[in-house]
Amino acid sequence: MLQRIALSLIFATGLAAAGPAGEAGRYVEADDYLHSVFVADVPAAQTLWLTGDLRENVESILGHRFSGLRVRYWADEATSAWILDEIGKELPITIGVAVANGAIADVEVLEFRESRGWEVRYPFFTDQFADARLGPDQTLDRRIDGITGATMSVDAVTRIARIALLLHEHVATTD
Amino acid sequence: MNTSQPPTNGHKRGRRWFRRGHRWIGLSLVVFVVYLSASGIVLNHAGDLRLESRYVSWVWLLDAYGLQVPDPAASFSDAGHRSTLLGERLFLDGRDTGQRESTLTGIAALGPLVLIGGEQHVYLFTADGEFIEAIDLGSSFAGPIERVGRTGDSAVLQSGGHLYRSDADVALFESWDDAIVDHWSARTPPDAGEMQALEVAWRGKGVTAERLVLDLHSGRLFGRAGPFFMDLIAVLLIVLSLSGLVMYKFRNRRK
Repeated sequence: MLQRIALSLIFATGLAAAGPAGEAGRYVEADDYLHSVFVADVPAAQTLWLTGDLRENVESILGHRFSGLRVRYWADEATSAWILDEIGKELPITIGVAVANGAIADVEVLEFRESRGWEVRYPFFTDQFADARLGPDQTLDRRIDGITGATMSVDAVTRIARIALLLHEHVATTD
Repeated sequence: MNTSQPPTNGHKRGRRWFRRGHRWIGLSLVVFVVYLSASGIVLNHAGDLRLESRYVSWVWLLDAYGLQVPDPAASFSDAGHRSTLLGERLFLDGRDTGQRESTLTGIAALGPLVLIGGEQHVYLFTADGEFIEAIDLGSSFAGPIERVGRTGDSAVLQSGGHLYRSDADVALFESWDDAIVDHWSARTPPDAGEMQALEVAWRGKGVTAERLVLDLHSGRLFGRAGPFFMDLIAVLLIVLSLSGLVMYKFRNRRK
């Protein structure tokens, strides 16, 4: 009995030590992500200055000031890819979002720096965004289920997905 | 019938020591009782006193909080702009940019823009110091950025022995064979005035008065031993209360 308790304790300690903290990190390089979105050739990077109404809309979605005056994106005729940072709790999460014809084609967490909330990197969560579009009030046209213990990360990824849709729409209408 | 026995000499001596102990503990705790009561009252009214929005920036106090300014890891200047790396915080013209870097490789003043080179990122600012964009060049270059320079209004970066030149908007970097670079960024130490501005920027506003009073009250301001010392004071206060009760009981019994 004592042996069993000791083994359980060792197992639990091991999980606590190697679990959450071990999962944070850089999962995908930006270049690899872009090659997964644009299978043939990655188009040259373009930049979009965030000014006026566009900036106001972005900051309204974020709920705070956007750090930076310019964002970088890659686009061909139908698809655009955005690599953006958003704070989960204290540190930025780097998120790649691909938008095709006004709907999300792919969401991927490229880098996660905090010790909690890294579960947002898994497909069971990111797959929920597939085909999502911007609805009224710049919200997504569907409900994204949260993850217990990762609420702030879930919210950060959702905000970035909305912003990518907004920016795609802006680029598509101004081109 | 009175069953109580007259106290022996041993009992009398014991009571005398007990009274002395009680008295000395009481006297030695006077300062701490006043200290804890006063700081407790202030904390109770922290909201009314708006302590959370008042800042204290005494240098010795910030040093006690571990906010000592590190020596600059690297510092570069170009055309009146200076970039300095303190710890992992990147500063431009004496202001914290909010960007984190492990290595500073140079600065290039490009007319209305200022570019700061990190290990695999470059950071772009307006000439007024407003952050524009951080560009990750890790997957585009052969290795870490080694040097930062400029030619005309274009930034030039050296990585893995190769040169890369930016376009006019500093949006893209392309391999560049023409090795004529107008200016390479070189390390220069900040002067006394610049260092003073960096120290002020590093420390920021300081700590809130609420945090200071809270840490004084709990003893945390005095390092790791502080809370344990306050625990000891609390234990002595408990001992004082109990010894007071015991003495009160003895006195009543004698009556």
